[in-house]
Amino acid sequence: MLNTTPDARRLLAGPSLDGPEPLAHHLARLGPLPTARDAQRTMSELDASGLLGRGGAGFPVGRKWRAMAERSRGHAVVLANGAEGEPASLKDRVLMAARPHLVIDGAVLAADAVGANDIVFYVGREHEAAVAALGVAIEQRRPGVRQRIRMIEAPIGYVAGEASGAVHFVNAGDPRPTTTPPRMSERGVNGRPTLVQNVESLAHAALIARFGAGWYREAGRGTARGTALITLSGTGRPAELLEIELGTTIGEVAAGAGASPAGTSAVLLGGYFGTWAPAADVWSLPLDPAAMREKGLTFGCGMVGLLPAHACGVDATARIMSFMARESAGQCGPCVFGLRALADATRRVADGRSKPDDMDGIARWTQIVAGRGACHHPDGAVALMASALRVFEEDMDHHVRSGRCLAMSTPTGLPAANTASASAPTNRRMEVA
Amino acid sequence: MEARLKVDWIKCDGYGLCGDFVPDIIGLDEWRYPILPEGPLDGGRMHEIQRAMDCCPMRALTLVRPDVAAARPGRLRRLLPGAR
Ligand SMILES: Cc1cc2nc3c(=O)[nH]c(=O)nc-3n(C[C@H](O)[C@H](O)[C@H](O)COP(=O)(O)O)c2cc1C
Ligand code: SF4
Ligand code: SF4
Repeated sequence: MLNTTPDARRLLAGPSLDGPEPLAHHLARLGPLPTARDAQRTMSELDASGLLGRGGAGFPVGRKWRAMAERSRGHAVVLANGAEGEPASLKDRVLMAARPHLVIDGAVLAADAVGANDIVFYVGREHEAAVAALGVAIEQRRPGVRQRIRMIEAPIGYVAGEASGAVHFVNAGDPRPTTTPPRMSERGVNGRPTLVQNVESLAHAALIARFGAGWYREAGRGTARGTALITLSGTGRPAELLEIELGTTIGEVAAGAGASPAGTSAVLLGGYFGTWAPAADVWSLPLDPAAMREKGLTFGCGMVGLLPAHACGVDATARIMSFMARESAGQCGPCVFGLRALADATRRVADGRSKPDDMDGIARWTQIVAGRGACHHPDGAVALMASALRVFEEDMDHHVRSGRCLAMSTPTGLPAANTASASAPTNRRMEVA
Repeated sequence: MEARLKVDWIKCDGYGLCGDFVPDIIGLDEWRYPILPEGPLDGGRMHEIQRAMDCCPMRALTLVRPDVAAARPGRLRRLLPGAR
């Protein structure tokens, strides 16, 4: 990873992350933002950079902007998604709090490129430092920005960050997802075509527009190009935010925080929406969305959660499933009842008081719940459950047969599923060559 | 022209009437929410499927024809470009 001269222009470069970088400092460090006249070139650079969205789904950013530019007729809306309802992730809240002008740059570039006259920053209200920093920064920028620009505080909740939920909240004060079609890119905020883009994606775009795809692709390992923010937890230290070169291995990242393969049994990748993998299998796996997808794993929001060797994966899974069930927006039957049933049965298994058909139920619900909701919330939850069934198969059997867990006394080190770790202290490591 | 069934999960209230009507086409889970066939529907049974859709109290079931539009029981809805 890593440790030659840090490029002063990557996402976490620059001054301390403890407070917002002032506008003058930001401009002196990175130079002026390309103008609306450069929009075509900006989109070409984005295409060439290979940048993928960082809100979870990993869709190519350049292609998304082009598609919107074709249909917007100048009256689209850009919704910068800073909800970050994922309790295991720190990246968006810290980025918005520490580099508000970079995030705004990205949103303005997007608006210029796709033909939008309205920019909405949708920021999780529990991320207080981010709300404060963006509030000030937006006021400073307003005179120089052609578009209407505003911030809306997102309600607390995992699903409130889903694209249609975000648009629904902006339109009607209700964060529950809506049925698609129509897609947000067709009819979103105020019925207008809406580009929903994660704030980290936008910040990368702001750098790529300035310094080019070639510069972006200088970082990276092997075929993986560029950098990404990740949250590392379960190391025994507070969760850490890191910027890594894509392609850096999980083992390198973990070892940098003092973790060892022997001391780690499994890794949760991609957040509560993600997948478990045995630590030994993925220690040398590159953190690279493409390589991970090939292995059936998810880069997602860039979470890397280590499960210490003596912690119970079944218990950790039960806590996550219970969180996911609680966070269902309560509209779609299979999501409401299926996730609740999965969470309850997994909890019983973890506690060693499973009913005879609990394991069969878990297997069946994991199969039938996917794809049966208005949004992808249940799909993410059952994908996580399916990976737990593979990775913790023996542990689950043991719980069922003996009614006991050998590891229960050890805390998992993963953030408690019911507390957004907004206040967790973050260490920064710049790991970009 | 191959058609598929789609349910609006927000509208569907799990009465299960659709599944009771054509049990070999629309399954039901233990909460009586429908489990729809994944592939295209059997063109020879569109009549029954239409009636199952018509008996849904929430009007939650739609027929989707990839090349045309989303159709509702008895009437054709607005054309959705690229709808599936
Ligand atoms: C249940 C659920 C929760 C989500 N929460 C967030 C979120 O908090 N922040 C975010 O950027 N994207 C979130 N997403 C993804 C968004 O729907 C959307 O894909 C994303 O904001 C697009 O930005 P990107 O292309 O830059 O990744 C969520 C998706 C789902 C299904
Ligand atoms: S699938 Fe679940 S989270 Fe998504 S809208 Fe339906 S009930 Fe809400
Ligand atoms: S009849 Fe309609 S409301 Fe009832 S289960 Fe079927 S789709 Fe849902």
